[in-house]
Amino acid sequence: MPLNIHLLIPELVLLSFIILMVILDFFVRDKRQIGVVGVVGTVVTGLALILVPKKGSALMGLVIQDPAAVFFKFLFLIVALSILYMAILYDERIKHWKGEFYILILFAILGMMFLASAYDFITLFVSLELMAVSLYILATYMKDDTRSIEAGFKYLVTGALASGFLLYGISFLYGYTGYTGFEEVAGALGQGRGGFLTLGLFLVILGLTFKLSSIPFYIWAPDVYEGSPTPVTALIAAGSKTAGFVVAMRLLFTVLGPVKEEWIGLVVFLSGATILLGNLAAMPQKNIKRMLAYAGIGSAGYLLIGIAAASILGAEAMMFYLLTYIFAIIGSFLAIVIFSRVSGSDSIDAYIGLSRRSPLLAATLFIGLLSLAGVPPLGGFIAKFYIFAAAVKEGLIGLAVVGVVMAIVSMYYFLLVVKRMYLIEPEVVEPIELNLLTRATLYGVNIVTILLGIYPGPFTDWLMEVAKDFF
Amino acid sequence: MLLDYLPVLIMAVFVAFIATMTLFVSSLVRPSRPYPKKNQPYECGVDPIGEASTGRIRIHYFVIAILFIIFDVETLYLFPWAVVLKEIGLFGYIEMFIFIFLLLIGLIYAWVKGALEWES
Amino acid sequence: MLDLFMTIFFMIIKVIGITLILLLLPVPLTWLERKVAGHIQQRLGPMRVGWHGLLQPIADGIKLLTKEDNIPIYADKTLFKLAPIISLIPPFLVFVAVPFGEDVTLFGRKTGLYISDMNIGLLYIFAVAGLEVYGVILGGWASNSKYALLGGLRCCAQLISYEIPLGFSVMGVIMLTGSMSLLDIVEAQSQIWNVVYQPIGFFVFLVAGIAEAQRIPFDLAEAEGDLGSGYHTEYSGMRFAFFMLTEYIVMLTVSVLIVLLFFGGWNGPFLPPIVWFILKVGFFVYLFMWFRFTFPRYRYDQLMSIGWKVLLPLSLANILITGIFLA
Repeated sequence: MPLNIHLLIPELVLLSFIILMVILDFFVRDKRQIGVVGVVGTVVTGLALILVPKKGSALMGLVIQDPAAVFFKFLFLIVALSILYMAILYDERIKHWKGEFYILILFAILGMMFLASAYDFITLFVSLELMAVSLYILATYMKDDTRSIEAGFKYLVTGALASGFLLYGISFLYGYTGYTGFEEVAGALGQGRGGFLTLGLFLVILGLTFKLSSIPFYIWAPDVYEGSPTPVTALIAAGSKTAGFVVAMRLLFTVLGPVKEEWIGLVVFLSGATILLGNLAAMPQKNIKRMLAYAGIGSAGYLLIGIAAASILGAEAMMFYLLTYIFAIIGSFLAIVIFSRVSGSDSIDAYIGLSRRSPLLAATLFIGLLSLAGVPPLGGFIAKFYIFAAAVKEGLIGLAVVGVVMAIVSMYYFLLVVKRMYLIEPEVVEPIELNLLTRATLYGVNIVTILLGIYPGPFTDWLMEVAKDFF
Repeated sequence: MLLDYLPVLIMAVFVAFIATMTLFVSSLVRPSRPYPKKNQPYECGVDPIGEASTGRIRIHYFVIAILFIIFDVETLYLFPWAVVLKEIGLFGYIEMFIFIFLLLIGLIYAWVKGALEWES
Repeated sequence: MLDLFMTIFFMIIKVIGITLILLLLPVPLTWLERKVAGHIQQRLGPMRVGWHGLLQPIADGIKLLTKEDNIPIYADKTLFKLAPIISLIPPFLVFVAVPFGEDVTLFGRKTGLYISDMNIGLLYIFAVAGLEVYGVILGGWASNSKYALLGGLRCCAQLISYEIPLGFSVMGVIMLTGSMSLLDIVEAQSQIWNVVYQPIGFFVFLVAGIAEAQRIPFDLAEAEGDLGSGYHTEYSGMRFAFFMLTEYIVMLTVSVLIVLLFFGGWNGPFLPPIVWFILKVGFFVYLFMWFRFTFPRYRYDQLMSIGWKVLLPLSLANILITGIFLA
């Protein structure tokens, strides 16, 4: 198998920009300029990604490039752009090591991009750790804030435990099949079954649930979401979770597809339990980041339905769900970052009367949250619709029923925020000023979310083609 | 091939044997009159305060250890590269140059950020 | 079968021989060091025991053998007892891969003046020499005394910091020879010594080697003045002697490696090879003693910055420059 280094040009471009940022960090005084360099790097990487061949395998089969990987890499770059923008807005609240904040964000994104095209257990683990280690540091970034330290520490400890599970599971799969490459493992699994195979599968899936923030490794999510700097929270919510699902899809559909009946029961259980837990626990939350953490756990449950369906429709639904989810999360967190600069608080009660102070900010949060809840005509509705359709088609009626009921429950806690923003009279009424760039960004995100809801046809058709790569 | 490494085992066993024998002979001739006051850890003559080995040590030692691991791995990469450098020629040199260059940036980074300063 | 048996037999003989030589060498060396010290400082040095104090090391040995073996009450007893032996073994193991000369004929059988000619000789030496750190850090920690702990940590940080430039500085030699076997390296120097091509490499190796051997000016670990002699503060009797023995053997190792890597090993005109070898090694051992009584001790932060900010960039530059000429 050839080296095919040209398939990795986007990643190499991003890496060179990261190194450039490290060097610039020595000279530049206003660290926001490093963030700007990062934005430029992300855009250049995106251009390289458009030009690069969309099919092939590189580095002796360690890495694969297919339309699905390219799709997810684009998603990660969109995440990178918005997180860098959030970080630039957030800059004044960071006290130490300002330059590294941007660099570490891009390192995490680089790990995610490699994860999207990992085709070997070694690549998978290394890129997973590249992402995870960057995120551990980022979560602890506000080192004067005990909540941030607590967040980073919880993230690290659970993360290390989950990595241990994953690695242990991988070692069983390797011992059982004798290969680390996905293709060889998939081939070898067709041959026969054994007790250790089930154990290995079980451990791998449990290890992955950390990244998905679903049961059983969900417990870190609320504290980490609350304590981390908000851009990092958004990165964990949008990027890390998506990366986890890329791995889960690649691993469970492509590699472990032949032994589907061994893991489907476990995934169905995890999915149902996660949906119930996420949505019920979100209701009493007082902090918006914490509430979004539980909402994110709920979303992980919905996405797991797609995995449990284990069909092309399921994969397509998951990719569309992730697309809408990322835009909803970006929109909501942009609004939260901008608002917290003014109010200095993330409590839900602080959002009282936001619509009087800044209609655009309120509208962005409104659209983002309702898209997460799955209200028509927003993108989230179509995504949930596809997920349930995939579940029903594969005979998972019970799971679909739980999902629909909990989607209605989720309306309740999202509407609590909406009620505060629109219906309660505020005490402070001074308007929040937004500059032109911020306004344009918020409009852009909102338009995409609405567009995905009212005109999803081209996206779903294309994703249907892409999803075939997984099987 | 494996025979090349047999002497390592022989020597380790032999040295350990000699050391134990010396200690044994010494135990026959040396006095042994321990009492608590005498066996207190040395602290300039005053009674020792607290435990020493609880791990409250400067974070700097950990930084040095982390830097060591990075560069030690680099050394391991360099050894086989150095052996075959004449055969792989300029291409191999440039590859290793990039690798060293990246690590050098890491070193400069640690340097500029003050990880190598002992006085803070 | 018989051949294999004979090989192993010779192997055991050689191992025992070299071990005994190494164990006994510190006896003349300590005498020599004290004499050198005395004459550099315009004193006579030891004079009482034997002719010009020649039997002084023997007296010291007997004294150490009959000293009480104190174990501090708060110490981790097992590790405390084990640490000196752990630190004693690696320096001996290094000499498995060190050659002292070419093949000679002994009792009608051709045999080499080396125990084992490993093809990864140099890598093995660095790997094994690195293990010495464990004895130091365990000894310092297990004592559960503040001076010992600090000394152990300092020593550990020093050893690992200087191991990197030490490893980098020999890279030039390996590149020139294209082999990690010390026999090949010496053979390649039969015309011109490596020190001519590798002056920077030699300099870095010398400085880092002194630091690895914990000799003045880099003997921060024991620093009698401020640390109460470092990680072996709590040790007495034979266990203390083991730590001292380790240091002497490491110094010898560094001298031998300098001669093998940079000064042509046993190559030389007129005299038999082994004499050349002993002369060269003796010169460097003397150099170390000379340094000890000439230079003052560095501060700890200076020590660290020399290692990381001077020697490391220097040795990296040496690798890159040597590479340009060879590639």
